[in-house]
Formats: sequence, structure tokens, C-alpha cells
Amino acid sequence: MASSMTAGPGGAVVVGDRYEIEPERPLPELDYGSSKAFAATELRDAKRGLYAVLPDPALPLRLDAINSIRRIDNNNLTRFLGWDVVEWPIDNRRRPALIFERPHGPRLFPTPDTRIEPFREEALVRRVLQPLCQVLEELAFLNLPHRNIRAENLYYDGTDPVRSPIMLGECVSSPPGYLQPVVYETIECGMAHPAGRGTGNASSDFYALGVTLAFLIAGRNPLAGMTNEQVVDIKLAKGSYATFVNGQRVPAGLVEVFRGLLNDDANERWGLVQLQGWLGGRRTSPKQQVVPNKASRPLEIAGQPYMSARAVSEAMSRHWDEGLGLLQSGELDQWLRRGLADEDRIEAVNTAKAAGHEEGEIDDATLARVCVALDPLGLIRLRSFRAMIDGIGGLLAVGLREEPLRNAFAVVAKTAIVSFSLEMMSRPRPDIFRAVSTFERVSPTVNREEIGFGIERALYALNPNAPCRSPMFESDYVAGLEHLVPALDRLARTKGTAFDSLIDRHIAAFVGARLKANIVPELRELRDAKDHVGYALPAARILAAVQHQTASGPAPALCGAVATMLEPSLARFHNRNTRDLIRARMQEVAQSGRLADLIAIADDPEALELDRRAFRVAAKDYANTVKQLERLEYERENRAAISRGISSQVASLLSGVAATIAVLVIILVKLI
Amino acid sequence: MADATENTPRPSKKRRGGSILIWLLAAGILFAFYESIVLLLIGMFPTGLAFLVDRSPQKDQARSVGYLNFAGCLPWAINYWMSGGGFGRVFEIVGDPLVLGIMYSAAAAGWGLCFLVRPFVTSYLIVASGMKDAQLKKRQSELAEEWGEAVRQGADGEDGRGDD
Repeated sequence: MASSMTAGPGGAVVVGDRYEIEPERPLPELDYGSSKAFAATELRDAKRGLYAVLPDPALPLRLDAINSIRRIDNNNLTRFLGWDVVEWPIDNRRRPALIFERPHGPRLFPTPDTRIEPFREEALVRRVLQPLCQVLEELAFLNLPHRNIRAENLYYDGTDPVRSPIMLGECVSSPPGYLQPVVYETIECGMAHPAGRGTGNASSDFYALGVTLAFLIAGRNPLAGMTNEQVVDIKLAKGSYATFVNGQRVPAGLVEVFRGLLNDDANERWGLVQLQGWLGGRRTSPKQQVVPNKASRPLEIAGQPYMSARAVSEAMSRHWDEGLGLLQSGELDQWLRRGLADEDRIEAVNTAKAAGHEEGEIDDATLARVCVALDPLGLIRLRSFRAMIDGIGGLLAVGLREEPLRNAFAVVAKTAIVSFSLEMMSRPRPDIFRAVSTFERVSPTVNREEIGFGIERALYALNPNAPCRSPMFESDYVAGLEHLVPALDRLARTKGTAFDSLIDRHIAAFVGARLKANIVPELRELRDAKDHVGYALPAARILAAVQHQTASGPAPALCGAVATMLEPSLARFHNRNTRDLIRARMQEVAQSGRLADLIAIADDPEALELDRRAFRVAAKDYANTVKQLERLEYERENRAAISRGISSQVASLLSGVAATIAVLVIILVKLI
Repeated sequence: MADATENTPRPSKKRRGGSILIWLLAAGILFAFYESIVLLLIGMFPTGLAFLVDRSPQKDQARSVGYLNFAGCLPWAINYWMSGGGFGRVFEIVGDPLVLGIMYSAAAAGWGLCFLVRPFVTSYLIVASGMKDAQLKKRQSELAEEWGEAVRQGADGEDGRGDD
């Protein structure tokens, strides 16, 4: 969608010449988290109820999901109509805006503490389970997990709370799982930072569906009042099914559904097939959840007793320094041998400790591996860094400005914790292999300090959806590579002559991660640049490659700024006339807005070579004049002697001529 | 190092032969025309002097004297040849002070030419040098204007940077 720049009448923001957002009409009932909702209309059909979501620009949108989800036409899923980056008048910056069809009714749960009339079994199946199963089927067809299923994201599609259909809200304006309260997440994802939960898969959606059903059956949040840590602890202690179902009045007919959906073992959890089978009348007994091994005696951490390996892992990660102490003192080993007596865990912990770089050295990386060994379900924990394997990039994207998170990420990248985690997993998902492979390809770049690499490169390589975080775009939003050149063009237009920087570390890393063409030679030139010319040319070449690949249209202001930056490079041409000619051509071409054309003129190797050759000729010519002047000086100093010599020659010549004439005359006279 | 003598081409037999022939011819002429030669020797005495005095390799001054000296001797030489010859005639001719005066004056005219021409040549050299100097300096300015100060450093000293 082309960038929206026009403002409609009355200050409305136009999106893609099709929709209009009204900044003066916020819709707080549709807000969620940091995303704000505003009234919107379709220009061709003002009666159609729409709304716009303006998410936090620092959070990546699910750009990879946006094009897919547009194809879904299901009345039980909030219809996504389009998005664009808009000039937002409230905070005077550019930010993404997504347009959805507005539900005809309110949320079922406006807040997590809301209480509603509990759903009966029949209504739950007919109004919630069946429609949502259809939605999940369509999402499964697109291989797209929703990751935003929760009671607070369900809407009445009408004004009657008893009869109106129920629809599921949107899922593309925030990273997957980011806005989900911990209660809706699996145990391992609940332990992760919200940004580090990863894309996950449909299994995460089915778990969230199970929790949502539990909310609806109870008419409230069954775990209201608990902190996130308490929610995780109770799930670890009792299991998710027991947490949500025990003590609730769950209809007997739905027990099977809850047991299937709330299974903590992802491989045993119900998926689409099982749910559709149940809805179709097939009844089976879902496997009883395997209860994790409980130790014969607890391990005390921070004054609390913990009985299972998973719980101990989580507790040690929350109380990191104490965890290091337990590891160093051997208390953990003792508990594992005498309390838990789980040979697999003991061996895994020993492997984790042995993978350290020095015998007996216990450091953060060691404890991180031990936590994985105790809880091998793909969660990486290192101090405040807590992410699923496929969520590492997401956490880096959100926590990039926090030094402890950056440092922890660098440790994770340097010490093979991720591959260790994969080894520990018994049945990893196929997408986890891809995530590990991507991470291992990217992690060596973290230690490279040069421009285009480093932690910035890791950020963009691990997050295909991350917008460019360059400080140059503080008031802009560069979602993808196709937005980069237009954003720089706007910046050049705004800053005018003060615009003197084309590429910084973030932009270089963003381009390096996204562009198909190889820009390593240009990055090396940027690294080695000693002056402005050495910087401007490779930077311009990189942007020209971006403009070419993305076909993002002409950028005359940017070209004009680049032409000014490349002005010093004209000093490479010796000939003044050539410089003037090239300068004039650059100014002319800059107006066309094509960077490649501009560079072709400023950095024409043939023209440079011709100029060099002509300069050599001119220099020789000059050297020749110097020699001649020296010769003249010599002649001046020896003029007397030279004059004598020449005079003698001239006299000799004149004498010869006169003598000849005289001889002829004499002979003639004598003959006559 | 090769022996220098090995590289020096030895005069060919033909050249040595030619040289001997010339000497023989000269001896023959001397023997046949020794009276005329005495006349010319006396008449062209200034020319001989000029050859001794002139240190230049080309002997231009001596030539200047010699050409006019010869022109001065020629009428009396022709007279002598037309009168039948003889040493008596030779001494008669060279004994006449006027004849010797004319012969020697012609030689003096040749010598005088060398000195007369010199100021003109010097003036020409000054003017030509001045014009050339101005022309060269103008060319240098043009080159520096078009190519920058780096052109003064020369083609070997150029560092790829032009000046404006």
C-alpha cells in the first residue's frame, strides 16, 4: 500500500486513499495494551463500521501474517482490511495504522477482572467452540497461529449478549503472544518475557482456547488476583488442567475438551483434528497428563520449597545469584541425587556443567544450561533474558535498549546454549530446527563490531518483522526495505542542508539483513572510510541497491542531498571543466530521484581514467614548460657566449653570400 | 667489459685508399700549381691567422674571414693565371701594396662582419627569449587553471586529488 500522506477534511488521516481515521474519536473500549483504537470510515461506504488500531511503533507488526490473514473471510474473526504508515497528528510522527471491521458489540470481557454470566455447555459449544474451531481451521490452512486468543479478545457481534454470535479479535497488530496475559500461555511461554514467547504454533492457540473456555465456563478469571509468578507456580505444581478445572463446575461433557486442550505436554495436547472430531461427536479419553516427577524432599530457594525439576529451574532463574550459589555449593547436585533421583535429569545437568569452557567454572552460561537441562522445553533463561528459542529475536527487538538484556543476549549468542537446548528437547517442532539454524547462522555476527553487523544485525536477521530502529527515524516508521528510501527522502526534505548522514549502524544492519544483493564490499568501505567521500559513496551505493530492489520510486530530495554529499568526490577529477560538467549533470540527474543514475555519474570509472590520463599528459606538458624555462634562464646567463657563437655563424653565412656574389661578378667581368 | 678497441670500427680498406688518393691528388696539385698556391698563401694569410685564433669547433669566424679573403684574392689570381704564370709574376702581384691591401681589407671585412652582426643577434636573442618566457608562463597558468595546482607536481607526483 502506498504511503499515506494526505489529510482529509477536519484533520482525518487518510489511509491508502480508501479509509479515513478520525484522531478526534478514540475508541478506548477497543484499546488493548499499548495499542490504541480510533474510529475509521471507508470513503466509498461511510456506513460500514470500521476501526483503526495504532500499535506501539517500537513493537514489530506481524507483517508476515498480514497478507495471509487478509484472505480469511470468516464472520467469526475480526476482518482485517488493510494497513499503512500514516502521519499521525496527535504525536506528530509517522506510525502504522491497521484497519479492521468493527464488531457490532462490545468485548465479552472488557477487563480481566470482569464477571459475566457463565456460559452453559450448549451455548459454549455453539457460540464459541464451533465458530472458533472454524477460524482455527482457516488459520491452520494458512499455517498461521493466531496467538491472541483470550476471553478479552472475544466480541459480541451484535447487541444481544445472549444471542449475538461471538467473534475473535485481531492478531496482527502486535508480536505473537505479546499481549497475552500469562494465564493464557503454556507454562514455558508463561515463564518467558512477553516479547520472547515466540511465534509458537497452533498448539499454543488450542491451549489458549482451553483457558478461554475455562474463563467462559466460570464467567470470570479463575486465577484472578494472582501475580504472573503465582500463575506459573500453580500450573507447575498442579498442571494446567487441574489449575483451571479443579474447583470449577465444569460440565461433564466438556471435561474431555479441557483435558485435551489444557494438556501441558504439547505433543499430547489436542489440535484441530481432535477438536473437530469431538465436535463431530467422536468421544475418546484424552491421555491423562503425565505428572512431572516430584522429589522426595524439596529444594529451598528464596525461602520457598520446590519439588520438581521444572519448578526448581524456574526458581533458580528468578533468583539467579542464589541459583549460582546452589550450583557452586553442590546443593543442587545433592538434591538431584537424593531428592529427585531422576537419572535423566542428573545426566542432563552434568552435561550442562561439562559444556562450560573451564573445568569446574560456574558462570551465567552454566546456570542457563542447567536451567535448560532441568526444564528442556525450549525456554532459554539467563538473568533477565527469558525467551523461547523462536522468541529470542522478539525479545531482542523489544529489549534492545536495555543493557542487561543486550549483554545477556551476547552471552547466549557466544555460548552454545540454544543448540544445547535443542539437544535436550525430546521431540522438537520442525520450526524449532529452523529457528536454531537461523540463530546459529546469525550469532557469529554479534561479535563483529563493524558497521552492518553486531547486535543490530542479529536484531534484524532474527526479526523479519522488526522495523528499522535507527535514531534517524525517531519520528518515522520504516517497516520494510521498501519504506527505507522514501523515509530518507522525507528526512532529506525536512532537514535540507542539515541532512548529512545516510546510513548508521541500524540502517546498515537492516539493509544487510533484508537485501538480496551482497553489500559486504560496501560495508567494508564504510568501515574503512577515512573521510566524508569515503563514507558517502558506499552508503549511496547501498541505498541505490535498495531503491532498485524495492522499486520504491524516485527520491529527488534524497538524491539532491546525496549529490551534495558526493560533491567532495569530484575532487578526484583533476580537470576543472570536467568537474563542472559532472557537477551540473549530477544536479540534473538528482532531480530524477534515481540514486543509481547519480552514482553512475559521480563514480564513473571510465571518466576517472580518462581524466587521469589527460592529467598525466597535462603534467608532462607542464614539466616540459619548466624545462624550457630553465633552458631560457641558462641562455640568459650565457647570452654573451651564445650571441658570439650565433653572430659568428651569421657572419660566416653573410660572408659566404657576399663572397659568392663577388666571385661571380669577378668571373663575369673577367670573361667579358 | 668488452675491449673498447674491439668496438671501434677499423677504417675500411676503401677509406684508407681514398685518403691516400686525396693526398696523392693534393701532392699532384701542389706540384702542378705551386706558384698559384704561393700567391694564395700570401694573399690568404689573414685567413690562416683567423683559423689559428678561432677556438670554436666550427671555425665560423675563420670562415667569415676566409670567404671574403678569397674573394679579395681571386681577381689577382685570375690575372696571374691569365698572364701565363711564373714566380716573377707572383712576387709582382704580392709586392704591390694596393693588391695586398685589397686582399687583406677583404679579410678584415669578413672579420668586421662578426662584430657588426653581434649586437643585432644579441637584441634578437633578448626579444625572442622574452617572448618565449611569456608564452611558457602563460601556458603554465593555463594548465594550472584547468588542472589545478597538482599539475605543477608532475605526472609522477600526482595523488589523484585535484584542486579547485
